[in-house]
Amino acid sequence: MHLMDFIRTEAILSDLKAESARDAVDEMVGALVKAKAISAAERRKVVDAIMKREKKGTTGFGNGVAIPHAKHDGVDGVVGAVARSAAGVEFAALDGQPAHLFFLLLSNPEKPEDHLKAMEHIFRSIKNDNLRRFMCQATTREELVDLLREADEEHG
Amino acid sequence: MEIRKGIAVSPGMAIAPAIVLDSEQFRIPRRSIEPSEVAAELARFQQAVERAQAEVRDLRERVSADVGEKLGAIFDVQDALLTDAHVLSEIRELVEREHYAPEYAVSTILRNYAKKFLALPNRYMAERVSDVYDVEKRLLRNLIGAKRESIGTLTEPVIIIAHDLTPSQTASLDRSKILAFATDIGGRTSHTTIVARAMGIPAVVGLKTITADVSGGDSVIVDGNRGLVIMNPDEPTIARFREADLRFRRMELELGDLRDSPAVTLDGHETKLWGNIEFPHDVETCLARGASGVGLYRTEFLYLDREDDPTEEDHFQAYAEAISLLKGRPITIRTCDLGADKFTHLSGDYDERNPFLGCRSIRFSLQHIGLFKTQLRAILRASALGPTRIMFPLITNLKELRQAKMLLADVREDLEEEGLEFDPDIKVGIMIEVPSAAIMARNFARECDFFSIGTNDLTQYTLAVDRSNERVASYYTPGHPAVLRLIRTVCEAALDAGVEIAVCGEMAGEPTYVPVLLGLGVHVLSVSPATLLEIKKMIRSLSMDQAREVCDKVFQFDSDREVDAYLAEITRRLLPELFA
Repeated sequence: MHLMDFIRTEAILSDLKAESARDAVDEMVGALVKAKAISAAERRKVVDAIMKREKKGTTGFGNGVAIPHAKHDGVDGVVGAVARSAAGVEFAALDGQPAHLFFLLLSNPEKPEDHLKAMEHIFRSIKNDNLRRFMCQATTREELVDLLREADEEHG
Repeated sequence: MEIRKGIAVSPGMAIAPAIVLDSEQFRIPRRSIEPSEVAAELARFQQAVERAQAEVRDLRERVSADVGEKLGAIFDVQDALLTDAHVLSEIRELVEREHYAPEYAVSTILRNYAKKFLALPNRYMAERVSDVYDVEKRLLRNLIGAKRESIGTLTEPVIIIAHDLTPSQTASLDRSKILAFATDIGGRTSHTTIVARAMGIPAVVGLKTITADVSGGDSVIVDGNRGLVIMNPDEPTIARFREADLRFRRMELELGDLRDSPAVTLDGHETKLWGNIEFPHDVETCLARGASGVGLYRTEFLYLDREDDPTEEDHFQAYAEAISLLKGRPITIRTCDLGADKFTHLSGDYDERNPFLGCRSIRFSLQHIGLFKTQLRAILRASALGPTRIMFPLITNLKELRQAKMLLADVREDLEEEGLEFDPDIKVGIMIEVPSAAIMARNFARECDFFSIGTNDLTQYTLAVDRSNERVASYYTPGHPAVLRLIRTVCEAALDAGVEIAVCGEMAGEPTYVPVLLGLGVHVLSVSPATLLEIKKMIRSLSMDQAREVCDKVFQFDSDREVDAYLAEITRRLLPELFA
């Protein structure tokens, strides 16, 4: 599995507009709706599920990265969105710093293996400080896609 | 009588007949026979030889047919040994004249040959030693046959001699009958060492050739205080041994009175004295020696020596057993610390040039999230049964801690959804065993409930010493000022942040370091069961003022020699009986 196997190109946002955590999640989930990964009717429910998970423990790791995620039976396996925010979003990060880079994951509860693999890939990618830095600096979707593909190639 | 020197890894002394374990775990009893049995026993031996010869020739033929004449020839050495008139007559002589049982005679003579082979300068010949062992095994299998006894059912006390104990061997051991271990290889952190310390029995490792030197049934003394193994000791040696053993037991007995006394200093400062365990039943040893909790449950044994991964239920059963034995006392479960010197069928797949700096421990867990979450689920579920804390090993940066905590939160959410119980206030802490974590302790203190300093790895990583490498092992000491300073950094950060600070490395089990650790403000000492009483005695022998004074003084030295000499002097003054 590669990052670009579950991240939908249409749901890669190089300029996230949202200023609050909930709005940021909503914007990314909206992009997944546009990408037809989930239906428009489910948008609200998915955002609620993700925010509920955030309340139990933030996925804002610090260093400007957050990995909001939730289970959702309306997806096939696992789907992801990626977003970059120039201004940064207050995401209750553990180091108190705003998040600039988001990996949002929705996974089918019947397929926990897919979720684990996707998460392992994201963990591996954000270990690479250069990738993280370049992604935060990217200004177009194409640049972000290139960076993600490079990361995929690096890990075969 | 012969004496071998190895590495003393677990204190105490024992004398008993030896059992030499090989991969097939043959047990060779020293059974002398009645003179009237000699003829029958010789006939039995002859039969075994003939069957072994037939086996070897059969193997030779099959291999030759399958892969060629040249490779079939590798059995020539065995064939030669089994038909050598001199070898066979030596064995027969022991049966005839000394009335040895054939099993014992075979082992004695062939191990003698193995030793000679090993000593040969010619590397090719030295390597043929495996053929000698193979012939021994072959003969024993034919002699003992169906009578083969498992070491799980010992009838008398024994000393176990092995190349290196494997987890499957230790798991099958009847612990009540084992008085000591002695092994060819291993160091202070090897499996044998850990098991011996957990069982509270003496062990000497790194004896190189002990499995060849000793035959099953030989009388053997293992001196785990001085690192000696004495084979077939003479009478005066046995007498000296009994006297020393008595002295040691008397001290143990005296220490035993301390079991129910609290671990308080002379001026009433209470320290938590906990035990380190490997298996749930180790809890009993800890409690019998006066521990008030478990500060380190190493969970690697759940993963080792099996071809599949442990299930959530495997984990849960083990944790539940330990927790129930503890009857309300706290337990700290460390998540899997695989890699480096401990491998599973999974982690063994990677060939790493430098495993201690490789994908081990929490790094391995974060790359195998499924395995990790299974364990986290089991720990959380067990936390409903008694006070439980989770500890992540080998943390080197905040990201790892946060990822681990995020996964823990995911698991909590899953359990909530499934309506399974767990302790919602479960405490989460980290091992501080890498210099980077020690230096960053203030940052970690904001995101942890407790720290536990793993002094073994912290010392090895700070001083760049692999202490199982005998050429550099002498550089290894937690008394090095750099190590002490890192520990001080961690303690100061923890105390300022109100985070509990424990020390669970071997340093905590060395009486000499107790004053320094108490002086630095350490709340918990978690030690191997064998050292619990000694450490309690040490705690009860000093005041906090003294501890702080020792601590101040220690930080004025600039070499580990001065530190260790000073601490030994202080300990001698406080606890003269330890050095008697």
